[in-house]
Amino acid sequence: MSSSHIHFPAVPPLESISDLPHEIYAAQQRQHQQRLNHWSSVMCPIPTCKRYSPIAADTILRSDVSVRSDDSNRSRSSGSPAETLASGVLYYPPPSALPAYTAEIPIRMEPNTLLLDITVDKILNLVKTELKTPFSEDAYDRSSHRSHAEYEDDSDDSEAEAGPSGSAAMHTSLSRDMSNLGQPSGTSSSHRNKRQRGALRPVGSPDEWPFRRDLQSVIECDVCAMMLFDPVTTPCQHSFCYKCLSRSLDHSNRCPVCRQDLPGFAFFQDHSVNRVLLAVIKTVFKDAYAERQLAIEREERDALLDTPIFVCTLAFPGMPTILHVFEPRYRLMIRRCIESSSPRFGMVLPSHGTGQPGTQGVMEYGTMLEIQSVQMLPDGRSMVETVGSYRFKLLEKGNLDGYTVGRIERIDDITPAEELALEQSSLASSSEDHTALGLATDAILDAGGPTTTPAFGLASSGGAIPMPPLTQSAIDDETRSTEEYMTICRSFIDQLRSGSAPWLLQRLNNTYGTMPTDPSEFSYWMALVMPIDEYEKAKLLPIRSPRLRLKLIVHWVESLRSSWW
Amino acid sequence: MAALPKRILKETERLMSDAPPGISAAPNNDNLRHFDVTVAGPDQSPYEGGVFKLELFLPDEYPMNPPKVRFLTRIYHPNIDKLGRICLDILKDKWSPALQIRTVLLSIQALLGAPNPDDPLANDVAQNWKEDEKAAIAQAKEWTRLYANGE
Repeated sequence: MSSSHIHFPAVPPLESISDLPHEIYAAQQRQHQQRLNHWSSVMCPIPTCKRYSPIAADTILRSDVSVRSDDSNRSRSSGSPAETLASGVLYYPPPSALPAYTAEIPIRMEPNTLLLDITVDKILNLVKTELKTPFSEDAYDRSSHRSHAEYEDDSDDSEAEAGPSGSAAMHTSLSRDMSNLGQPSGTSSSHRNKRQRGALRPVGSPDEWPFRRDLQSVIECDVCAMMLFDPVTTPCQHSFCYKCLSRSLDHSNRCPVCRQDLPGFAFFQDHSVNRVLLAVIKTVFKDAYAERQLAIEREERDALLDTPIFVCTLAFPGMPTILHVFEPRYRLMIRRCIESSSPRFGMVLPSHGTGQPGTQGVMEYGTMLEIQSVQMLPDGRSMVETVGSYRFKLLEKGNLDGYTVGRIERIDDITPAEELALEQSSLASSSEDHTALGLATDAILDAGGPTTTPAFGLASSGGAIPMPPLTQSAIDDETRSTEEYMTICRSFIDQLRSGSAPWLLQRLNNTYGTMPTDPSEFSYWMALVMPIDEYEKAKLLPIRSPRLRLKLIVHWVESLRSSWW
Repeated sequence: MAALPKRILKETERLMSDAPPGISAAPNNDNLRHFDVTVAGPDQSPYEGGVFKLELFLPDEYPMNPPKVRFLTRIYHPNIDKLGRICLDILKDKWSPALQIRTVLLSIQALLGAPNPDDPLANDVAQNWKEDEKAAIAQAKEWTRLYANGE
């Protein structure tokens, strides 16, 4: 396994635990300081890296020139494998693998030294071992030809040749990387030499070549156990898929492998990939990498097939909701959302009690929120500004990487014509026939609801806090027109405003905007500013007629007024 | 439900084909995130010769969150309580997504080999262990014989 440098001591050190707490704390502080000093001296020779330092690049280039000439001499004269390979990173003898489980990781780095890229180092070791292994002359002769041809023709990537080209590809990719660093080209002939000499050992099918297998396990991500995709290398020189590292950072600021503190989320956000590694992977496992890319894209698409659901608060169409996203699972959800072409997610309230079967733990009705802006904080939290677009009914819910996803059905208001008809018929008939009205009301409530009680159809919104039941007077309200409902609401708001401090008003205006005039928008706006329970407000979501929503709001207004002194 | 992540499939495959010595883990047919585990007591420990049953569950956010592991077999151990819960840092704050089911189970086996009464979960056991280690070890052996006989 690629995590071979994690190992657990058979017997955990008991002595360290008997230390006094303050000593442990002091040790931790020392260690932390040590790490900070350590990071500050880490330099990278790759110009696109945030830790790029011309001095580092200089050092590398200078030392590399000598290594390279030395290298080509040797491969020409003795054929022995190169001790050091040009890779863009300066290699010192690798430090002994440290157990991940030690309480204090000793850092023995001198200031201004360069760290090892652990994965690249492993690959180099593999290549060295491979070069030392004796091989059959026949095989060499046969495949040397093939490999040569392949080198000339980059587009040829048949499976049979992917194997032997493995280490060869590495040399070329490494040299390519060097040329990125401004190294004069023209060394390719020596590399070609080396490639022919050592890199070919075809036995059995390509997938069975030990070198290929070993390489495969070296370039595995320790988090997803798959081939590294968009490999990013941490300052402690461990490499992970970019997405895996981001997810890990959501949960902890430490390196998954060695547990050293990592710079925050922001550091990695536009961190460049490890080009050396990527070049190696793309050359040796070209097809597999492409396949992996497709699989990841498919996964991301599938992740968005179901609507991501944020179980948090109440939101209404047209109304703003501003969220501080800090939970790891929702950080991932927001990242996935903003990668999609239409960044949006559903917002539902958590349910009181058990809720409907199939949608347990959450309310059945919610609002789709369109992401307007996301402000990422350096540690990976974010402030997300959203506006509600439409309401939905949650038909089924599932779980994806810790957060809720669901299959939803959009709910829209009835058409303005129907709305008008409803108003007129209720105005006409209310005085005589309450039953007929009840039926008419039924018809326009969300048809998907399991049971629709007369008047407001609240039954489907699950665990509701009972407000005073609708009285005869509420039904008598039917004599009022929609406009009259709005007037009642407005006067109520005026009453609230006159009784509130100006700063409160200011704040309400800033948050919710000015009072809308459209009855539908007005109903949601009213609901937001009403000082009542969220779960009561949530009863508005299934109602498909603005008139009926206003009617419910007026009912709240009246019950609030009656309870005030 | 979302499909089982590749990593879990890979780990399961490897656990089944190439289990670490003294450890077996097989996923439940009904729920592939639920594993039935047995761990053999390490040699030269009070638990030598015992076979301990555990259950292991991979939460939705695995490997970002640690697996949940619990002893089903009764065991007399200062870091394992009456409900079989285990006091082990890598199952809590020291969890890292680079750890695996395999490494977790190996650590649990190591914990059996090295009880740590200074960081107890079962206070009464830890107390005994500190006051009279011999008697505590005898008790652990007795429990191992009684409960961890593989039946």
